[in-house]
Amino acid sequence: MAKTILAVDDSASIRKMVLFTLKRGGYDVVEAVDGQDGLEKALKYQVNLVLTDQNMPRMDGLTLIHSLRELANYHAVPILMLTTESSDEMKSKGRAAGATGWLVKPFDPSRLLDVVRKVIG
Amino acid sequence: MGKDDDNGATAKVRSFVLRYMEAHGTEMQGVRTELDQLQAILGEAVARLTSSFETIGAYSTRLSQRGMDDCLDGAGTIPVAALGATAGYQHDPALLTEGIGSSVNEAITALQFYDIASQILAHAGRRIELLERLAGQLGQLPDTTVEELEDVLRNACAVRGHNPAGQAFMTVGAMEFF
Repeated sequence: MAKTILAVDDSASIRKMVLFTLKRGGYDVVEAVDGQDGLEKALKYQVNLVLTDQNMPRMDGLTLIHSLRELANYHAVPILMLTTESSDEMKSKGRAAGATGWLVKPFDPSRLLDVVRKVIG
Repeated sequence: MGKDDDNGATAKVRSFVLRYMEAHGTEMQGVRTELDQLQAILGEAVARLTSSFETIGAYSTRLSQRGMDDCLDGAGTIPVAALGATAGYQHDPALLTEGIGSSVNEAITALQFYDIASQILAHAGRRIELLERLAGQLGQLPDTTVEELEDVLRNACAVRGHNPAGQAFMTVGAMEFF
């Protein structure tokens, strides 16, 4: 059974690129348009990995991570940030919030798949 | 210098400031309109590019699968000459698949420009908002106080916020595990 990844990004074009990449890698993908939608989808579907942007309307990525880490069933689920943000300050906040890793856009599909495979197999 | 001269000079300055602010406002509105225009054009372009990309991606997957099937069936070569593929590709399905995969990956990386461009445009919009706010205060001279102007300047960073997209090129971003 294919593993499921929750892809959270307010940019439709990024979601399509992530979806295309992960499906080619054999994963199922659930899409969310912002952090709030991501949290709702995470509650609805138990996913194996969360891939989230930072700057989004309604709820940003760091708040989403904080919210997910408070849920027992998402305590150990890997969460990767995929964002244009690259400052050490933001990365520190991500680490403190409970992110597993930090990827700066633009992503290379092969490298993204390598990272995902490394994290969830 | 008499009181009438002072009043005349103040009136001239006030008149100049008002004309300056009018010109400033017109130009700022023009910049805002052009940024919106740019955002709209980029949005439409990326929507079309993404749609075309998805179609091409689906075709290429089918084509490489068909090439593999032909090889497995003993047909020997892949009918890719019409696509302008090199002779090497025609005799080596692995090369063809690798070539398609590499081009698809390049396209996926490049197509992410819109997300980055949108964030830079949004940040430019916040800069304009800040300049308009400053201009608004200046336009009220001499009624506005220096303290009010300094207050706007002091809060400038908070209004503008930081630029979330520092990328200068479309090179692949770094990756870090915690």
